[in-house]
Amino acid sequence: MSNPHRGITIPVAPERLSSKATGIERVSGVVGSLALILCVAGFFGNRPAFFQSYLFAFIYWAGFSLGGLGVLLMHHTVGGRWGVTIRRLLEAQMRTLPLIAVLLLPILFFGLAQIYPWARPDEVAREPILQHKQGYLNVPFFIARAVVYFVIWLFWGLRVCKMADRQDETGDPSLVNRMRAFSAPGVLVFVLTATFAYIDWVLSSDTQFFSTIYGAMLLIGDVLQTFALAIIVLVLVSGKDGFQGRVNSKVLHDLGNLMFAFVIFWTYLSASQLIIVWPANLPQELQWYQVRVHLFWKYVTLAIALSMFVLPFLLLLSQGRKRNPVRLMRVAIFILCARVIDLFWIVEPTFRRNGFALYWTDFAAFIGIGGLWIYVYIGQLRRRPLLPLQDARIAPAIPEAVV
Amino acid sequence: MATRNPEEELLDSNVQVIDPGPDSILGPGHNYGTVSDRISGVVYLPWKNTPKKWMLGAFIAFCFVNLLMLAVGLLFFKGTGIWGLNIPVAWGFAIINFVWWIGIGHAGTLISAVLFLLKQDWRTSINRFSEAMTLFAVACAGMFPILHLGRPWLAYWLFPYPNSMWLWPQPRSPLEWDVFAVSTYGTVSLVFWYVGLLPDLATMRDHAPKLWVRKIYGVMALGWRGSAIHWHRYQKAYLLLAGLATPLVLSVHTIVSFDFAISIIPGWHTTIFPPYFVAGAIYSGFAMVLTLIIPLRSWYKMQDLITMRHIEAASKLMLGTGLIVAYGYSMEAFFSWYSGDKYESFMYWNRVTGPYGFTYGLLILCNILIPQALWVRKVRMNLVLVWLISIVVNIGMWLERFVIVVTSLHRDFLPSSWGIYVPTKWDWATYAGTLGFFMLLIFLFVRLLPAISIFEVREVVHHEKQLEAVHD
Repeated sequence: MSNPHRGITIPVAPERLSSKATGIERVSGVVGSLALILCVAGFFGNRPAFFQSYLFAFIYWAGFSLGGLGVLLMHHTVGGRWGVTIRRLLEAQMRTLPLIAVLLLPILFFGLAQIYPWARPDEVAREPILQHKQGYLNVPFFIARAVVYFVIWLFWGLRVCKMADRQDETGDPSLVNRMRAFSAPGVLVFVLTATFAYIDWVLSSDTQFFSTIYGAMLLIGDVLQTFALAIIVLVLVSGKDGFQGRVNSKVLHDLGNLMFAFVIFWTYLSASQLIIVWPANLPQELQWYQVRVHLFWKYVTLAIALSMFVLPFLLLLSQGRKRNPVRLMRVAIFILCARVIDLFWIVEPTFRRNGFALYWTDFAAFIGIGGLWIYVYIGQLRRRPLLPLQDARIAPAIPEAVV
Repeated sequence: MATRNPEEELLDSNVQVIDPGPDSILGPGHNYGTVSDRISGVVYLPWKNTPKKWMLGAFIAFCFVNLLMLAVGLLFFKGTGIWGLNIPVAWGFAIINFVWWIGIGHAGTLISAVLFLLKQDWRTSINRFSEAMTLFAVACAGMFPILHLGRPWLAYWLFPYPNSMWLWPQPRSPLEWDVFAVSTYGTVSLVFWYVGLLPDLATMRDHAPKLWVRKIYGVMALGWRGSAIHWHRYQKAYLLLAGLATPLVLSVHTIVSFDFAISIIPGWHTTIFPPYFVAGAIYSGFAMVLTLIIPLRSWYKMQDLITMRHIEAASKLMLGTGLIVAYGYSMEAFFSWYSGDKYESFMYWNRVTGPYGFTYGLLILCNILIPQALWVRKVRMNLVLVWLISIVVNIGMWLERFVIVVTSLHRDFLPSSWGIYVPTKWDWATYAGTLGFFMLLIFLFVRLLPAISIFEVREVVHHEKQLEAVHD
């Protein structure tokens, strides 16, 4: 076991993104822009439907940016080799936050009344519960909170990124401890702000529902999708030699185990909410599930149970699969797809209470925001070396055969 | 015995043992032999050399065990009426103490199973001790629901078995889930602890100064000879048991939280309960580990085996889990207002400003405000402060269960059925009695079995040697 306190620095060759990525970057940029232009048509055609689709797509892709920041801060706090290996990917995810902030603007300017019952004065006048929540759920405060969230996230994310850059340049070993000291309170602040962001952006679209576990449930899902994306990208960019064996089966095994742990954690939180809400049978809470277990939505519910828990759980039990880059990547891709259904199921039934429905804008908005997000993400990946250059905790370069 | 064992000499001498500080899990100058001698030496100390503080502590604990006997005896004789329970607060001290004790056990399982799977090397010298703590805490916890039954001699009715009355327990009740969760937990913890002890029991057998002592440890060691095949199978079995014990860290307190959350009582029915109970359990568990280990390591001059590295790691975990608990409190507070439900918001208002408001204030002080001092490294490095904070957290976690149980029950939906709960002296006696019982078991354990895993510390020695070889 290598000891970070002994201060051995291993100079790492600066790895860069290959030219193949440029192709993907361009295609996603173009496809994303085209889809967003289509969305504009949707905006003028059917505004409520458009914003429902847009919210879902926004929440899914924002999950990578938020998850990236959360896991980055967590890594700096607890240490560990796995985190050093994927740090640059997490940082690139985090650095897409400005894009997410820009993408929130359409909702703030045009979409509030379309999405949130508390932003519709006539409905507030009818519903005493909305009047009760007016102190918290009102337009100016909602916007102010969103601004505060982004300021806090960007402050912590960029600052810790800057320290990592300085570590690349100087290799100063004291930076590890400074990054830890800065990140540990960051985790706390991040979890609180992200919880309230999800209460604001998603939960408040339901007039009645409340659940104390809600923020944690969404956040843990973000962490899960972050690990899945990081595994996919790590396998793709590290190539055949796995960054001279630094991305080896041991590191992948650790990452696979983390993804496995968060599959279980996500299930634990989701199942806990169900087990507590269902037998209590209180109308204010139960209506949230009622929509989701009737008509076609019940098949979606079943699909989530299978694809977010049963299948990934069984697949990730295998040690061999966690140690094999391609097989592990397949599971990660599967989880990212499953998460699409999961978030669709969390966001949309609130609006589509009369049964399952799909609009063409669901696809357009998802591809549009996704295309732009991937474009910015790859751009961020290209700007900096793909592995930290002077962090002693990085996996040593050894050929796969030795590991 | 002709020769004195090294631990005996160490305790007799004025030599101060050097703590290697927060970067190392083992003091300097240890080899395989010194590790075995020192740890087994604690058990083989002649009675006259037993530290005076141990004697005094064990005696006080024994007195409290007698108090427990008295309280339980009277309970059997008179019934639960001697406790302060009554409608509306039918779940008083019995459940508070049950949850508190079972929570304390969780740190042991976390340290021994989860940290083992996460390959955290600092667990080695405290895992045995924390596992023992788990067992004893579960034993204390288990007493309360049974005593609370009213007719404890019919406790076996809780198990589903074919009977002439054709009666079955209610499978939809979380209280019934508890029966299985806790008994599974107790069983797995016991097996895990005992399997972990086997190689060390063999070492104790081989070091035994007298024949009858050797025979006792020999029988307990189940014929362990330390052959390569033994070790091979042993490591597999241990890994499997660690895997089995890991879900229990989550499941037991999750089910305990369902006892409350499945109901519709405001203050109980809230979805954050499962993770927040689990975090709280680990929080209180680490607090108890620190409370016990800090004095014990100094009584036995074990500062080179249980170092500041262990203390600091445990303090950090305590701080982290405490913050998760704080997250739970803030979610409860926010949603009691956000829900717009008048019973929810009344519950919270009553919790803070009602007749038991002071307990809530103390709870926030003990569980959230004071432990924040652990952010400061100087505080974590100060044994007295860490010890005091650990006691504050123990109190805070007890208050948390008091607040959850009592403030939620004593004023429910109907003002006409409100009431006040005051624990009687027998409530306190039973609680203090279990504390004594727990402490006595801990004292006996430290005296009769190797409280630190000998073979795992030897592995650490082996590791350090390898590292040194690499550096040379």
